[in-house]
Amino acid sequence: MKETEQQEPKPQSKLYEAFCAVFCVLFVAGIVGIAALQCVTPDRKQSDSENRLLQQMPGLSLTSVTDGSFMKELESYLTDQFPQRDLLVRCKTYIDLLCGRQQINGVYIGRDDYLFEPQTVPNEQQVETITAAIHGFCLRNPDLQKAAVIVPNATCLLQDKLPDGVTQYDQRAFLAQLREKVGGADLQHYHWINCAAVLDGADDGQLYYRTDHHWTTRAASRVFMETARAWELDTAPVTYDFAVVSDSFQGTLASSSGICHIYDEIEICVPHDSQGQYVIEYESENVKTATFFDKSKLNTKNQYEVFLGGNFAKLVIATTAQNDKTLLICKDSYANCMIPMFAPYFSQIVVIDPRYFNDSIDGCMQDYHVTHVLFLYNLNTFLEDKSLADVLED
Amino acid sequence: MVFSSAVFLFVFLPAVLLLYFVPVCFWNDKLETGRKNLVLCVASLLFYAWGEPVYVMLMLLSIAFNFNIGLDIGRHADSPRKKKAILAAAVVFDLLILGFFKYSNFVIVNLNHWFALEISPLRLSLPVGISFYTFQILSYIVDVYRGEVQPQKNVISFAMYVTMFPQLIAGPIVQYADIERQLRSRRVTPSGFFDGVTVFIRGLGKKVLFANTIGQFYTEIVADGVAQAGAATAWLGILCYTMQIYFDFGGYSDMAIGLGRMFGFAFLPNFNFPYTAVSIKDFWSRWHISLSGWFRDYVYIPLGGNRKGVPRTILNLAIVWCLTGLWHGAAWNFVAWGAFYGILLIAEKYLLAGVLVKIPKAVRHVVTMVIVMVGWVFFSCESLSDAIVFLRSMCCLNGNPLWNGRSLYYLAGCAFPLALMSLSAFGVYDRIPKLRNDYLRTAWNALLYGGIFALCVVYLVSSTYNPFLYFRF
Repeated sequence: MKETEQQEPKPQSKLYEAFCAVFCVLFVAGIVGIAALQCVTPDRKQSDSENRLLQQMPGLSLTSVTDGSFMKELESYLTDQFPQRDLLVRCKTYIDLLCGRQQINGVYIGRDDYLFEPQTVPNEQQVETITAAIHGFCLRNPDLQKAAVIVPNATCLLQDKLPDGVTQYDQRAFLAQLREKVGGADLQHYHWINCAAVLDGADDGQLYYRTDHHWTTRAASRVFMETARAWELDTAPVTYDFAVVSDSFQGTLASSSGICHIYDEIEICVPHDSQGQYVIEYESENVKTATFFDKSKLNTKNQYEVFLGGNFAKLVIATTAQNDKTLLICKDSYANCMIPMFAPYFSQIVVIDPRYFNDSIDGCMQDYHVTHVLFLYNLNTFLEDKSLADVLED
Repeated sequence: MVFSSAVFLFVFLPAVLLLYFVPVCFWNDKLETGRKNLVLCVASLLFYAWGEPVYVMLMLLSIAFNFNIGLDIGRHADSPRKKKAILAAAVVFDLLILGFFKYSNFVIVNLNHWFALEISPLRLSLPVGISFYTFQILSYIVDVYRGEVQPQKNVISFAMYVTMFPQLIAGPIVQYADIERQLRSRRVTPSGFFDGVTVFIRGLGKKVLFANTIGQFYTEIVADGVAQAGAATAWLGILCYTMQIYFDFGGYSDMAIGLGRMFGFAFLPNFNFPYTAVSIKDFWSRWHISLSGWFRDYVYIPLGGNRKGVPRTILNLAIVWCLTGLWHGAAWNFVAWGAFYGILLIAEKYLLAGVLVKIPKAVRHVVTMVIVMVGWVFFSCESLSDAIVFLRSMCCLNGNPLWNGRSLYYLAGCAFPLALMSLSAFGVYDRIPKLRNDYLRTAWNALLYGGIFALCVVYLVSSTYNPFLYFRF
């Protein structure tokens, strides 16, 4: 016989065994207790911080068992509905911070409480398609006033706030290449706005939110002034009012990372005395309002939606401006805080978000007698989004 | 099912513990043991079926077949030829099943490559744990053949030995002889159960707090592109992997041993601070001990071991180490990894035997660790060519600077976790003197492991935090 069998543990005193028994019972009671707690806490439908539906109790059936989906969903159900889940997630985030982690769930933890989303790496083919589409559009519409505003991301302009060693590609150099690719020499009435140059050395406040991937209204207003200069809009008679509408904003980067001690202010910017001078029509929603701002969104998780109420396929804004200029804006959410600034100069502003808009842009051009076109994107979305090229197609 | 999941910790484990320990047949000890075995057996099958609802049939088939083989060999105990024929048939059958599910695609891919054939690969997924339970079964029938153990006459006990959920999926490989007596009777004392709980939680912590955390760094570094990385980054990456694989595997073994102890089984230790080894031989006497023990008892020694002269010993070592490599996965990089160790062990045994003793221990330790880390490169990469790219980066042969800002970024992120883990891997925590007083020590352990368990729950739940980023728009 092999002699590898282990010795029986040496016998312990009864008192000591009873002492140990207490902790054994505590352990079993602990895990049974957690299971029981899970049973009695009501299930949540969705998680605000993750912006997704949470797993519900899966149904038991022969197929769901044999293909293993029941088992997977039950595990997700237990972890999604775990008591105090959000609190545990935050604990983990702060443990990570204590351990010196500088990137949590893809979000870089920068200096001075700045959070950064990682840059989207350019895909060459996508870049070719989109620049060709814009170039083609400009060629087809030589008489229109056109401007392209591609905004670099926080990682580019706030490089000194990034953790050391986070090397990402040079957005400035890449934007210069993009400018070349879209062309310009053969295009008439076309302007490329060099945002990096405009925003560099800006000293009138934060350029980007600390907890969100958007730029601030201040940054947007600087770029707006540059665009107005390029289009020779007469901004001298107009004054703009800035107002802080929230000091409790925690944006997407705060949600993704689980960091909850940093707050941002949201500022809005409107032309002075402009109240009641425009009507915004949300076409597919069949809603009309008289304000650029949806204050009710300040009580929700994503306060950035205070600007225009979020993103919609198409908005048509009618203003009291006495001219027959119409501006068409092809944009992502970076534009939302800037749109009000254009109101005094155009009797009509059409806003299109190609990610939700399925028609061709050429139809809009005719329907609204467009005189000015603005492409406004942040570089990350510009590189990810394939829909802009689609709507620009002939 | 895996141990580090909510279903296991909060549904399966409490249910099994209650069913197992609440006595039913308290008037009859034998009956009660039988009932406990049945509970464990059914629970283990359920545990397996949870991850492999289809392949559980394959396992049942294997159990039924080998149970009968064991009885058969026992019946022919006094006719060596018959007994040998039965054993041979059984070994071939078991290895064929393992080979079919694990290696057929590897064979097909290689046949296609070398002979320009176009056999389409099979759409098979590997049944979880098949490498482990096949080896356990083989140890049983071989030992019955050798007369070292009696054939198991109770099918529930046999099934329980094969399927026992603590070690079913990732070992340790428990040899039948080691737990034969425990299958019949075992005693669980509160102090033993408590010890089991602490060992289990220690393993859970190694897996969830250590392995998963450091694994993220390895994944990040690899995703960044090893070919473009500086040598410092590449070394840091493989250091992270070195820690990850030890705490992942070692943690799993601890969990298995702890759970076993909670149910009254004493499994042998599977890891003994492998990263404190001062030679390759030493490393392999500390790493995955149950596997090297299995290969020693059932391959190396039957082949003649070291008793048939130097050339034969070298051949035997070569065979064992190629097989060890292949056991870890059906790909050439695993074979290379096994051969790498085979060559090193042969060299250590015959060429360096006189030299090694003269080198200071600290130097030998460092050299051993470097060799082990180089070995993990073969293990971690998807293919042999990836491994070579990785090694080139480590050797500064890819034209990149030794280190760059990226290396410092990673180092800043993982320095503290790595330091904590090194203290554990090098056995520093275990050298802290234990409290002499039994009661104080137990109370302290309860506090410590309670805290570790709570941390594990925090990590497990938050690892499923999955922000849906579409709302970025």
